[in-house]
Amino acid sequence: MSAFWSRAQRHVGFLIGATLVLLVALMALVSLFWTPHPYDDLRMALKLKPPDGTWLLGTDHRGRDVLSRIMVGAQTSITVGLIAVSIGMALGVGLGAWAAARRGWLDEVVSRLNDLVFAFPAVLMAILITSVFGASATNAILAIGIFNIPVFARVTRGAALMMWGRDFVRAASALGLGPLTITVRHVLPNIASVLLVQATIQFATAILAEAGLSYLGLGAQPPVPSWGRMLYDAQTYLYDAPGLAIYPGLAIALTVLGLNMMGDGLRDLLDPRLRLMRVG
Amino acid sequence: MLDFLLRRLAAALLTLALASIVVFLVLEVLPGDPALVMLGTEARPDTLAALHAKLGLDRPLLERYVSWVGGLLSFDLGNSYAYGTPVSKLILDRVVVTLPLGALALSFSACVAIPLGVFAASRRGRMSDWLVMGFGQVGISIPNFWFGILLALFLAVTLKLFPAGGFPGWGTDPLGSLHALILPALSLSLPEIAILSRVTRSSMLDTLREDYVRTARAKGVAERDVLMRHALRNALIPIVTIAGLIAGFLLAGAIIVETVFYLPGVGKLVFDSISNRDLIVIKNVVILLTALVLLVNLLVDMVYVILDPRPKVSV
Amino acid sequence: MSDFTRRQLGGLLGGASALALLGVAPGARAQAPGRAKDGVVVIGMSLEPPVLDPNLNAAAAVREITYQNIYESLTRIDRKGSIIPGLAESWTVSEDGTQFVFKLRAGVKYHDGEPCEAADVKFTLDRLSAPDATAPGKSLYTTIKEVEVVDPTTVRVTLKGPDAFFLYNVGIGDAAIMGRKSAATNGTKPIGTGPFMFKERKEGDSVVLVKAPTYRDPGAIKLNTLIFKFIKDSAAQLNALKAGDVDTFPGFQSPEQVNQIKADPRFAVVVGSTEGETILATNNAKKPMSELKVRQAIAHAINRDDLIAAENGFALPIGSHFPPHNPAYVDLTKTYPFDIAKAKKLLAEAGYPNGFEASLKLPPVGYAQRSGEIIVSQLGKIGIKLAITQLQWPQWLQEVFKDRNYDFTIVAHTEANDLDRYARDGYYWGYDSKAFKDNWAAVVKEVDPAKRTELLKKAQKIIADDAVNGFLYQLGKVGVWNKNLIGMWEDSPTPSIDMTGVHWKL
Repeated sequence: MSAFWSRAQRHVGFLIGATLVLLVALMALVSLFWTPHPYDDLRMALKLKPPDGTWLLGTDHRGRDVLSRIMVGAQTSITVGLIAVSIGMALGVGLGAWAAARRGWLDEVVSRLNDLVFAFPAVLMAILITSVFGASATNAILAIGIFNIPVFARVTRGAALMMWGRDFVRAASALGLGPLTITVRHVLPNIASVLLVQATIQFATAILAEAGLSYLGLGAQPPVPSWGRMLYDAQTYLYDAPGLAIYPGLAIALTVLGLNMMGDGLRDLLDPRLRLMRVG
Repeated sequence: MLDFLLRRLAAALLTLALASIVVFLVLEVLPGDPALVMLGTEARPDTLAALHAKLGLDRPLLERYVSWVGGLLSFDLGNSYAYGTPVSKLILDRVVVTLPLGALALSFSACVAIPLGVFAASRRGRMSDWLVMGFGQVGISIPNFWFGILLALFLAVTLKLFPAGGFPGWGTDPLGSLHALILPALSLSLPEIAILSRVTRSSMLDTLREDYVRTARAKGVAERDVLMRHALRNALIPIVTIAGLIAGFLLAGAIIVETVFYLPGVGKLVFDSISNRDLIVIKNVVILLTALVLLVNLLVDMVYVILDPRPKVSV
Repeated sequence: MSDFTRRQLGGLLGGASALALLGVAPGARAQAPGRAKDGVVVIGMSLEPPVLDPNLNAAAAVREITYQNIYESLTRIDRKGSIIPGLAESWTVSEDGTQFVFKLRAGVKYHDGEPCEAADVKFTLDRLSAPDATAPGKSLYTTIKEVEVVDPTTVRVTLKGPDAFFLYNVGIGDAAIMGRKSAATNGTKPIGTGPFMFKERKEGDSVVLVKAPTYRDPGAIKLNTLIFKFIKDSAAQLNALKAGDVDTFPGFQSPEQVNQIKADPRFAVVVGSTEGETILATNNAKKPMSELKVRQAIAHAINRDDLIAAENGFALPIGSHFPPHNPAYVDLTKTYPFDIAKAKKLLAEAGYPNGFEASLKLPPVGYAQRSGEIIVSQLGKIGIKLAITQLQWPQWLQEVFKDRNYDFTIVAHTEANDLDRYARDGYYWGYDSKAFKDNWAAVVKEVDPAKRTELLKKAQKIIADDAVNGFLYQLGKVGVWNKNLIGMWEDSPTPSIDMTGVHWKL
């Protein structure tokens, strides 16, 4: 572990990424207790103010403080991303590990289901899902989570299959240990780093997806701020207040950039041979 | 080789059949009654029932599924509930926007990303390599709709070089139509350029390590020719694979980008159909898009086989 | 191969730079002056009509395009909302108000050359009122008992009882007189008697109408081509106007953008009235909204000034469900003035000192989005915590309107004479007042205009006192048009973009 840290300290990409992620997390954390102004206080008289000493990033079309909304928006992005990836991971890792352990028809079924989800235009299905259950942060999580399942299933299956070919796993099998025990004791711990790296990348993807859904009006509902929705609203005021279209986008880009750099860094640090899936 | 392709084809068809069932069932549980949408707030129970019968919405589930799939197989997509016109006409009207958009975006990506990747690979470890890789990292982190908004802000609103949105139509103004597609295609291609340039770079690096490249270099072949003649050709295999995957994502991305630039494309058709509960349009578009993605994947497999005739197992 | 690859890459790159050059070259765009010379007007609309037959779909956009342009009705609603002769040049009413005899204009032809006769009127009215009719506006015409053809230009309509709104109802777009032979295909190929005939449509994009050679007074029509272009997003609407792609948005939906347009010397911005009372519709059948004091508290907590500011001032405050431009209007906005302390006190008296939680289900329209966020903030100040759910129209119709599974929603009721909704059983507000129902029955039967006005005033007062819904504001009609386009309707008394008298100033 200490070896990891000493190498990590020399990996510039990882350091930049981790710093960005920490900053965003810190911003979300602070916003739980404090924001410069109330994030949901409507003051029509103060609408579309340019940035100044009081309103550091100006106010939006409802006279709300943009900085406060971006801070609280970080909560939305992080929550949606985190839960969606957890759903995908919980189910995907289970399915992938199971398929690798059992092979045969189960493996085939899992692969076909994966193909099915990959073949659907993801945005389309997410739109349909949120139309069925209503637009809300919860349903955005669900829609993004579903598309994370096959990603994790595929990665887990691939990595687990490699493990099942290793001597120590074969030995465990010869000793009469059941597939579940072997998976839990030997396979999963050895592929944990792969999954960690993939999870970081998926987190980034999930935040992008949440932003996209919110932009289409299918994510978190007002007055809860979300970066994607702020961008949608901003587009109406491109002529009057172009800044509104810049800050939330910057927040998304920096968060995602941080996670991506951290993920790539982790990969280099943990296992340079790891192959990642990037699903857009 | 043929065997491999046949197996891929069978798997694709199976996936498509599963997809049709999923789409059909999702639309079944979609809340909101198409007939109620047509009749509005003054709808009466008797008029609703009559309209249900007219639209065939009162028939049993299986019967409706079979008749839909039957229609698909005979290329009859039926008539839109909302417009009353054939669904195929609606789709064709929109495809002429989305397809050029996707093609434009894909060619932007290829023309920028491949040279960029080759360049970075040839300068491995140097500053320019770092810059290219950094650009790639940033490129995949920017939401493409935000990039679109930024392009609209700077190139359209401020500099007035491009329209900020809308589409005049090929018939009325072909040049203007192409003009209107450039910013959307650019914003669509940004993340793809980022991904493709990284793939090209690493694929080039892999091939540059191969023996025959070293041999060529040892024989004194010019570096330029080594890169172009020997390395790039072989490096193209994974590049084509990823480009194929990207084609699928372009379609999905087009839905959001069409919203940013108000383009009357397939994405907008689906969006509008969902909000009108024009179920018959939604299910046909979704299944056709799915089929298209599967087809592209199949084509990629074929190109793959052609470029590299060794038999492959599933990728 | 290497040459091939290089050339191919080069070719692709060359292509890209050629495209980049295109970016600098100004696109060839049709400009308004050229259109003016050719008598062409491009009319922007936010919403697209699904079909072009009001018998098949309830959308206002259907009427906006077709009414008075393609189809005509027996009477006609003019730009101020008065009833004037339409296809019927005159009519007589029986003493008891149950029998109408319409005298039709002679020589009126449909766009397919067929004559428009009394039989077509009977066909149309029968189709609207028949027991098996499926027209969305059916309930307006169920008072019709019998329609008789007296001669080719005379029709007698007998009602089941007096109906003060009958002459109005046969004048709106729903009662468009359609040809017996062409009616069946009017959804996709509309054929009417109006000054413009259908030429083509591109779904999702535009509908094109051209001057009809069959029209009875061709000299009166100054325009040759109407292109209705559908642009939903407000930012795109602004772009289209600025680029000169669109000459007018008769109903511009995004007040936020109006300052941008006002700054442009090419355009006139005219704010007129509509029939759209925007209300915080309240489920009166559900606790705690069933308590009068709770509804009164809500009424006191609403600050209309903020709501109207979000509409950029293009709205008028209302205190009841009635348009301010109507002669029978009474100002009831002071019934429950904005007063947070009073609101809190009433809420406490009703047994909710700490407020309560409730849902606010919003339809996908601009004003509802804008007002929704503000209402959440305003009611939050007296402890009522509203959770917003955005619904698509189909869901709104199903969940809120049909199944009445909601607490609050915000919607504009844009039909004229829609006070009768408060007398309906099973309507989505769940309001049930004997006093109102009795009063409304009297309104419908009253043929004397002065007496009817008094009854209408009383009706407004009853629902205002009962605080049935939160009465927010009357939507304004923000009309934007090229300054050289003369004769557009300022107000919107009924859904219609009547282009009959419109012309370009050359």
